[in-house]
Amino acid sequence: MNIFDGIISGFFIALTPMNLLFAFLGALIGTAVGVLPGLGPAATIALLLPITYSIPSPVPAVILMAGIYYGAMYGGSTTSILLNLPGEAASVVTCIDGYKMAQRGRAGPALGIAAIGSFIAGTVAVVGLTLFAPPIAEFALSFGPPEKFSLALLGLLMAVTLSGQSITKGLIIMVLGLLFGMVGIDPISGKSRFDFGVTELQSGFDFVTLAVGVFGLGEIFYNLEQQDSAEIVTTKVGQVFPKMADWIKSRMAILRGTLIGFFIGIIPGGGAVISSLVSYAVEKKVSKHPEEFGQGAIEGVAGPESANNAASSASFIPLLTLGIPGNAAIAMIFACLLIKGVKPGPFLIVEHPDVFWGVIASMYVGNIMLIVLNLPLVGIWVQLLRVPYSILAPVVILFTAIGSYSIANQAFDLYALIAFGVLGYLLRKLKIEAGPLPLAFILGPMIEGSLRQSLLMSGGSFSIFVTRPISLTLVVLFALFVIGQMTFGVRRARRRPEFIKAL
Amino acid sequence: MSRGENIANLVTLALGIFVTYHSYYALKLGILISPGAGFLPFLCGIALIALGIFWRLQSILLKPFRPVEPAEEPWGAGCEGPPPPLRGRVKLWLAFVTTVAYAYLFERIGFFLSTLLFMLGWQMLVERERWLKSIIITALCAAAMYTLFRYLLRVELPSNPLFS
Repeated sequence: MNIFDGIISGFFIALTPMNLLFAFLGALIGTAVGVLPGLGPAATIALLLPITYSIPSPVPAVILMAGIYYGAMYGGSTTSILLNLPGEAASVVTCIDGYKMAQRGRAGPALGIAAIGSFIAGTVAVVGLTLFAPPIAEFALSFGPPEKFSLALLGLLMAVTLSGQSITKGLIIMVLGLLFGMVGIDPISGKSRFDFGVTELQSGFDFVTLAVGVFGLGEIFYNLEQQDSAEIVTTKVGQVFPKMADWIKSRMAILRGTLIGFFIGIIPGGGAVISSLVSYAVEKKVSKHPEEFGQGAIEGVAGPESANNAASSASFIPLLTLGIPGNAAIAMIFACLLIKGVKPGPFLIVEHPDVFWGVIASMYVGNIMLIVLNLPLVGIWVQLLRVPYSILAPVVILFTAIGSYSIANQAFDLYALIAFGVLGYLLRKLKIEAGPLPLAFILGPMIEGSLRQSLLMSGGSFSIFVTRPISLTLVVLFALFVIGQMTFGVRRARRRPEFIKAL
Repeated sequence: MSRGENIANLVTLALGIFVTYHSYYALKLGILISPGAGFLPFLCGIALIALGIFWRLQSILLKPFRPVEPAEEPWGAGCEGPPPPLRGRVKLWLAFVTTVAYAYLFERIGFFLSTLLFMLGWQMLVERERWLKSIIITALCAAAMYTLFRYLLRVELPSNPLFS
């Protein structure tokens, strides 16, 4: 099946009433969680993962989850602009100029350009996904266990180094994720690991329990401690369609943001957060009036918002073609595919073309739904901010608890959930990025399996990882990346006082 | 290194030592051509120890280059923003206890009753809402959750042993 036939068949799948409904639900829930501060896309997808058990087919389940992910990118800008409070991490940078615009009575154009930029970037990135994903998947078909091992390790390392502030802490979290993934019966030797005599631990931790605990419950605990009174929206939104002058100023920012977001999104760990930061820095650099940045420059909203949407769509490329989730939210979608009996990776396009093309086509449809949901209905989303946290927090806890319990119908999972919630809370307190934890947890079995298979193939020699060209390339990239990050890390630490002074 | 980071660093080292020891003696490493169940956990344990030591050294060697944190800061350099107000911490503890109690009661008294108690406890203890408001919110939320999970999503939920 060529790309054209594939995408046409994908549209036939995505445009069925059931899949349209799930795309709409995904876009709707995604926008809502993007708007609500303190509940990110990773946590929401994790919360809804148990629900996917009751969805009969994998296509609508993944369409729903994907919609939540890129929908959150659209909605995230609303609170950044109106409250100076990012709805999710990728919209942090939008606060700088978006909130200034709102203070100057230009909240409408800021919200409008954020939504339009997001639509353009999201659609262009899906076109890129359509064109690039099939050849990458075809190339990845030649991967054996050594290549899979090197690729998974490289992907994890990149995710660790690009996602957090401290590489050391990120690596510790990664190792912790690998260890959590090893709890239970070893599939090769049949020996039970780290169960300490607890019967329930023999089947290991469930990904949903870990994810909703760390991201859902941990987030609630952290927010409860920090937040004592709810913010009230007083800003008037006004006309959301930008004027011609705004368009002229923003068009190149949207284009640059799209390209930056797309290419950073492909890299594991790159994702929406980094792309929005890079886009803001680039816009400030290329601007003829850099002094306007921080004072309400519309390019400072258009660029980063386009970049984070392009990145969120592009991050599906490593997932669908290589089976490597690049960030925590994509790891949840990876888990969703596994729950539905679909293994993401190079064989996905051959074994499940309906999932592959159906999800890609649904993203075109979802982007159109999102622009309709976000532009004319922005006032309704603003009302959502009036839902008191005193109701939202216990309801989210109930969702996490019932979601975890429903997987195996055992109360033990509730205690595991609370333990992971405490872990998530502590990581937030210590400013440690929890993203590598679910990534390592989900990639752990693949890493261990391919490492053992590789050693078996080579007769116990680690040289197999450097004697095969693709694996060697990945190992060299891995080494270069480690050296580069260590050098950069030391320099960054040494320059910190000057940087703080400059701010 | 702040107090929180210091504890986290010691936990990392202790965990690393335990994992290494347990993998080597209890799980067994096997041979390279056929690694045992303890092979990768052993490597993870070694990695945790190495990273824990590196973290400690990093904090000592890079100390002069870091901005000085106020001594009275309970969580220090690793903490985001100013310390939370006392009410925030009390809320957190109450929320934690309420959630643990919910987990304990969930199977014992059934989903509906435990959810009612959880919501009521949350509104009265954590949020300090008035009686009437707490009861209304509790009743609405518990009924909505029950309808959603039991009838719409058809999730198997524990019922009260006395009523079933």
